[in-house]
Amino acid sequence: MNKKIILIDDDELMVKELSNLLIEEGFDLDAFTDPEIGLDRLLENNYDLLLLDIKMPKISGTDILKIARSKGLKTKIITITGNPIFDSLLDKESLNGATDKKEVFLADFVLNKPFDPNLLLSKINELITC
Amino acid sequence: MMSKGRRNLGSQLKKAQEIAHLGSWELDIEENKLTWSDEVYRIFGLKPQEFEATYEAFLEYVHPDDRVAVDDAYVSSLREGRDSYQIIHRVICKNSGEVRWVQEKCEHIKNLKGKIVRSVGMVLDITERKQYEEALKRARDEWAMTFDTVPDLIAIIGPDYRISQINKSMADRIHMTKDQAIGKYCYEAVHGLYKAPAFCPHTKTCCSVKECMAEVYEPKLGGYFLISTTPIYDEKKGFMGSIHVARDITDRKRFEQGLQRLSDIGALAATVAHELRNPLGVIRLAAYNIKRKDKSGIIAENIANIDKMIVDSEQIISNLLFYSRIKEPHLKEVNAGEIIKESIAQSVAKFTGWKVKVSHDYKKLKKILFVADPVQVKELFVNILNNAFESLPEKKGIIKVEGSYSKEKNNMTISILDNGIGIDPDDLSEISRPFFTRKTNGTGLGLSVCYQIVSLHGGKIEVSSQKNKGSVFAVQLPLLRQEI
Repeated sequence: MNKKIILIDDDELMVKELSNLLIEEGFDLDAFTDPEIGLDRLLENNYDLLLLDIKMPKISGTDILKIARSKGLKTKIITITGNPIFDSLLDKESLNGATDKKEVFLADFVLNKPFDPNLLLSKINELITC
Repeated sequence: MMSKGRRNLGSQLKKAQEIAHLGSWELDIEENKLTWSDEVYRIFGLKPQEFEATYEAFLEYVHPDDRVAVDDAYVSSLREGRDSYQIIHRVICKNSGEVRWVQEKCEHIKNLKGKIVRSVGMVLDITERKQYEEALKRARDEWAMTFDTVPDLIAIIGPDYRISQINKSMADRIHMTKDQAIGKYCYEAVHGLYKAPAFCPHTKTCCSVKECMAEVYEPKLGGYFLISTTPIYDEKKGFMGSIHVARDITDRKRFEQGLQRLSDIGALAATVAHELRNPLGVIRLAAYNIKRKDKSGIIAENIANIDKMIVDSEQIISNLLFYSRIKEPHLKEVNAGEIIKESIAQSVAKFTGWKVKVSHDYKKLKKILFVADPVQVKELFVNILNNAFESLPEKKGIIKVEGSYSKEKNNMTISILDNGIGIDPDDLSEISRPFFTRKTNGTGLGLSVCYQIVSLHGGKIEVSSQKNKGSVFAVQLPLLRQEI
């Protein structure tokens, strides 16, 4: 059976390109540009992995992370962010003061935009092949 | 002749002399007979009436440095036929060697022919008073010295705005001597005005008789000052004026302004970075998807170029973020030699293929530890080194790194020299300003970040440069960080 992935990102083009890639790779994908609907579906279904944008209108990615984790969801989570506070250049120390860093670390992996698609694929496989 | 009654002082008088440390003596000149009261013996550290006193014996007890003066005072008063004289001098106690201060007063008694026949005198032990006076003088000198050596500008200003006291720092700063300044109106001497300026805290103190503070920029003195005025209040005379203390906070102010500017740049950079990373992310993904669909491999090279440019763009964003995110350093103990070595290695790696001779002489710093943020300090040296490389025409030249330290000044100096194109004299004052650059593709943030980092570490950068000859960047850093 194919692994089930849910993608929540308000950027339509990003969703299109990611869908194109992940379906090609043989995953079952549900993609949502509306984070509220996406959150509902996430909680209703048993996904293997959530690909989550952080900066979104209505509900942010960090809110969805908190809700998902507080409900004990076992779904693996990769967040995708363009926010410079999670810049790889920074050491952990200088993350002090970043308000939502704890929430972001609730994720299993954090990807910085513009990420290397190869890295995304290898991380997905690493997290949900068992 | 001396009478018995004089020699045997009454017991009450003796007691009084003892309490007052006041001795009396009498010299019969014709018989050369000197008589001391018991207290004189005690003042000289002797037992009462221990031996027969003589003038010569007395001189023996006088402090050698004062002996000539004491003798001269007495002899000259006789020679000139004066009625009296007095002198303050030291004596050395016979047994203890202790030095005591005494005040001597002497009156001469003349016979009917006007010839001096007897001298009567008193010796008052004033050692305690002298010690007290000396302590007072020392305290006064110390206070005057403190008043004049503090860097703060201090003046005492009366209710009429006249300066009644001023310290050296302040007098120097307003280009006057103390004497010139005292008595002048403060607003005239300091601000060059004919009445007190609106912010004047002294005016407020005069009204409220409370301490007042003001932070002001004074164009005449060319700086920012934190001023406090503390009222002087006398129980009897009432309000007497204020103690006006001004601290030059120009450096701190400029530093804060610099930080604020960088913080603004940081906020802008963060927004721009976020907004650009989104589309870059989609482009990268789209390019990847195209590549997967292209079975022929015809467009592989084009896609690779897109990919490379996306990575470059991301690098520019990261650099911009790094430069603008310089904040309070995370301090650690850092080995100076190590960090310079790493910086040189990093910079040299960036310019592989260039024909540059990099020489160094910082052996003295090999074992020097200092307190700094290693990431920031490395950024600082790498930046200056990169600039040195980029200043070399046709990718060839010489770069020298020299290091030394001074124990007395508690600092070290790392100089980076190049024989590149140099800096235009008109640009020298501009190079620390954010966004100032003469490079075709530079952000103009590199050196401004260097200046910020050095300033955050309590150091300074000195630059000297000659057009087409080269530049020297001398970075001075404290070995132990002082609070700013």
